[in-house]
Amino acid sequence: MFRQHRARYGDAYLMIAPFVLLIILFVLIPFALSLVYSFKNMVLTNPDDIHWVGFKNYAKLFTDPSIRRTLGNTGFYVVVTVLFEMLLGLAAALLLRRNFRIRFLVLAVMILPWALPPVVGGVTWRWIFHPQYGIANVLFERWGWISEYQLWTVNKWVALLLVCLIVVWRNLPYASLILLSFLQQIPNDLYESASIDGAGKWQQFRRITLPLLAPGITIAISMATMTSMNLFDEPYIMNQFSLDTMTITMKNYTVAFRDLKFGYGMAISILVTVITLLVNYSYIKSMYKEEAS
Amino acid sequence: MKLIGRIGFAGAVLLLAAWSLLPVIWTAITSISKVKDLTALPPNIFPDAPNFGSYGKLFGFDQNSWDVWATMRETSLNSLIGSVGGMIVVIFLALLSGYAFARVRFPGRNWVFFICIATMALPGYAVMIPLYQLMMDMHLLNTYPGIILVFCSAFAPIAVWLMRGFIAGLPYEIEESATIDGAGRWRILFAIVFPLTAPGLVAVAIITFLGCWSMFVTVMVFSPSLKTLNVFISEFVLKTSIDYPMMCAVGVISMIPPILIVTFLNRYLISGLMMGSVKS
Repeated sequence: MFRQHRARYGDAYLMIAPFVLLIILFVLIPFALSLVYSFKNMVLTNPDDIHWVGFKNYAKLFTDPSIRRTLGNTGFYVVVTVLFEMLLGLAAALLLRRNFRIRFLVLAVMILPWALPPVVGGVTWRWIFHPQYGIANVLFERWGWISEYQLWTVNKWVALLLVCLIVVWRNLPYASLILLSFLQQIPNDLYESASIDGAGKWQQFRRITLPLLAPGITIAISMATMTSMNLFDEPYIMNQFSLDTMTITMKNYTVAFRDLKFGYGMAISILVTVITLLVNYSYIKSMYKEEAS
Repeated sequence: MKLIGRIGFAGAVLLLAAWSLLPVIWTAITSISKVKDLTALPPNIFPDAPNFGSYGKLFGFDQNSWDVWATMRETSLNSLIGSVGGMIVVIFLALLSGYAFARVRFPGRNWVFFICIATMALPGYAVMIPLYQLMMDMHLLNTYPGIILVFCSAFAPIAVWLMRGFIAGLPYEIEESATIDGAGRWRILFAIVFPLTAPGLVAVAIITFLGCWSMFVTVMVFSPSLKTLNVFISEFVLKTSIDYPMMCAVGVISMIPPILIVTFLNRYLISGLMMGSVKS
């Protein structure tokens, strides 16, 4: 049985071997070790007293109120940022598919937010919304939108939305580039014959663009979701470790790397992984369906 | 009617450009401002006189800051080696695996693919400490191969996923006729699939390069003494204060390689899919 497979599929196994080995060595083995640690009371400041604690670390997840708050914030970020990244990303990709003279230039400009180092981008945004010296206060007051300078991050919801703004600004090129590269793959003939058949622009979009773009949309949504599940830089730079804007990943960091409670930190990591996989399950499942057909 | 459409289109393009560009321009302005201008009340939008002092320091025109210039040189080189290396390895992995996952129905295909892709859902912190121990045992800490491999383990899954999607979307007929002509899988991959997936590979290349280029915590952990540009930047962000002009100046400079890569690869992303090549 196996020999037969090797003869027929040997090339395929050889082709995936480097990738699979890399993932096993650099991700799966370390992750398995972390999984083991999550069942221990591993506190790095106290290395002599490490023993099994069963599900105690996991039970703590349900009683720790900061877990609930940081998860709630993370959920808010995921919903808002993924929605806007996909809508604006699709719009930008459709725009950039058209052939116009300065397309090269616009594409390069669109990539800029992503090319700016995250720290610099974050700090610049924070400076823009600085309560005293920020340009946002100056302009908004000049335009009459606000009557006096605002301390933007004091209001929890404003702070959350500001973080979303920075995240969408930074990640839009990513979603857009993935969608654009899939759009480019749709042959022009399809549109030509559709318009000969009298299909309008909207019809063409619904009947040709959307279905053929579906795999790209799946990948882009998944990527956007996973990125937003693991936000760190933007909320940290805007508001440090304030619980108003803190994400579950930041909580994970403070527990495992600041308080050095490694076992509990790993339990949080596993929680994040499970939630991310569950959220992505529907996309991935739809991928499988499409493949089976 | 047509005119309205054109104006709307131009407006949308302008909006996209402004949205992307304005904060970047603000960063550039900050990099040539004096600290005094930044904290003027009411704030000056444009500094009275541009001050290129930060750039002078970074490029060693200022004799007192040759160490800054040395670090700048060194960290830029490290960033370039790590990102270009990561990009090349990931393209290679993604082309091979993407093709196998898209076109060969080998036993275990779906499971292997699913597990490898699912690793993207892992937060970095879930693997960091055990991976640190493993890399220490393999003597990969603070080395170029170490950085490149860690970058690859982070970006290869998305790259493989994208490539699988692109290759699955190619028309199968050409490969089929090549198979009938007796070409093996490797020949089909390199002679037929490789040139047809140019736009996909370019998207993968851009995504990987930019991802590696902006890596920060990972480098701090796995390569604290072989620093990259991003780690250098973070050194201007101190606990109590931030050297805004210097930080923004390094930020502006560090945008140059990504811009060059994107402008260079751009044309393949756009023109590659003159998918007319299918007809011949």
